[in-house]
Amino acid sequence: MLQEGFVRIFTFIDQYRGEGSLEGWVRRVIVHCCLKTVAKRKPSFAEIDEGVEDSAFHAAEVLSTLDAEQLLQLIAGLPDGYRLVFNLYVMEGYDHNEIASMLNISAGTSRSQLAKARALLRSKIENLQKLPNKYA
Amino acid sequence: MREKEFDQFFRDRLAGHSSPVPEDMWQRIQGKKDDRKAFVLWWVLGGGLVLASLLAGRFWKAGVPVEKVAKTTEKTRENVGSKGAGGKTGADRTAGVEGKSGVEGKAGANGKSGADGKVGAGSDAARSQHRDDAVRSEHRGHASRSGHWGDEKPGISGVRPKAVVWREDSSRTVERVHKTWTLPGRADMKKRLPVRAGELKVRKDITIQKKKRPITLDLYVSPSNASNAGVRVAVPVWKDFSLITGLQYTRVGFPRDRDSVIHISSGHFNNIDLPLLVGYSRELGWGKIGVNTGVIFNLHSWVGGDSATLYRYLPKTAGTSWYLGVDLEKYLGRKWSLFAEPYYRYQASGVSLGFRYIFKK
Repeated sequence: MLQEGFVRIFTFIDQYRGEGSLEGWVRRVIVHCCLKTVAKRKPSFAEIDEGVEDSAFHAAEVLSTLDAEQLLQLIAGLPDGYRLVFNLYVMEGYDHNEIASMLNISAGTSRSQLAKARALLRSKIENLQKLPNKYA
Repeated sequence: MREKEFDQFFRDRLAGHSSPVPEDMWQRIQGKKDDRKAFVLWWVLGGGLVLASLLAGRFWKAGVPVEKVAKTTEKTRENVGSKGAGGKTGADRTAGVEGKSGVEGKAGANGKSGADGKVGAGSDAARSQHRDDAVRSEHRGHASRSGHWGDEKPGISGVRPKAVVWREDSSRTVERVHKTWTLPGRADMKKRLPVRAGELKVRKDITIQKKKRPITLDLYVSPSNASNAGVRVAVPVWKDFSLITGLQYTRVGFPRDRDSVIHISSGHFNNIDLPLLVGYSRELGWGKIGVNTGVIFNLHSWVGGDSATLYRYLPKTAGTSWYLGVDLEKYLGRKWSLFAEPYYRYQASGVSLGFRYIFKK
């Protein structure tokens, strides 16, 4: 995806008119390229019942011990729809209306997918608490 | 931890993070860019081929131009008897002319003018002999009354006569309207193309430069008086598009056309065709649906059978015809598929049916 994104950047670099930051333009191109690739896989935005409840999170101490690679690993373990919305909302800073437009879903679905993604991540982190030797 | 804090934690922790980039990333990006250039080149090349074939089909006039011979009124005033040819019957004339005008291909009478009663048939006397014969049979009754057939006047460019002149052995002026007939024209040539009712395709896919290169072997069958055999190659060039070309041989019996002289003879047309098509197909899971369109260019055409010598003056190509086919393919497992391709082609529309063997998907 990264490779394809850079190919697009070099192909359409002449379309960058110098308005705004180059970084923002590159980011937008990469994001759209990723979305295009993901769309080909037809990700499911169905809600997955994994017995996760969106309850108060009590494993902050575990969270603080995780490094970036471990967090990325946790995100990568999310179902496609959850991961897509989580990345766009949390990491890229898009709001639900923008995400809904980009993914051709409703804003409500986007909210729901994000909530489920958070809940699943919390669940995974809490499970890590039970395996202190592995991540401590 | 609240939602916002949770999100912010991920944001902060991953903000400065960067994953290592593979060492060969730049080479891969460069390679991809080159691939895209190659796609453009393929399209330019394909478009050029189609354009060239269209131009060639339009301007390539191989062989002798054929025109419709209309009713011709010929006036002649001469006294054949005074020139020493009087008294000859039609049969006499035949012998005489053959000796003079070189029906056997000798142009001995070329220099003779119409005024002396021995107008030469030109250098193409042999080519026009069958027409001479046809008209002679019509006027045989006249010939018996001490008239004779004058030789044919040289036609346009000396290729063939405009008309056959009937002369009587008298000094009277005679006016005759000769038989009208139609020589095979370009439209007739198109009728050489077959109507295919059945078609069996065998397809082999090979992979070149990580892209599928399907090789298609077409074997045609037809219950009518036409039969075909050929090879087609389909090369994917971009996304779901492919360029299709190949070579095919077509054999068609003479069309039965009462307005044409060709119905009086037996024989068949042989054709070597070059298809230049663009194919587009969409994967549907259970099969494919696609459209093939372009031109089928007749490279060479010749006449076979008993009457081959009569039609050797025909153009050596039947020209170009448009082709539009809808390819419907249903997979039968991993290797075989069933397909039907209804198609339109000038004077040769039909439906191709058959099995397709896929060596590699």
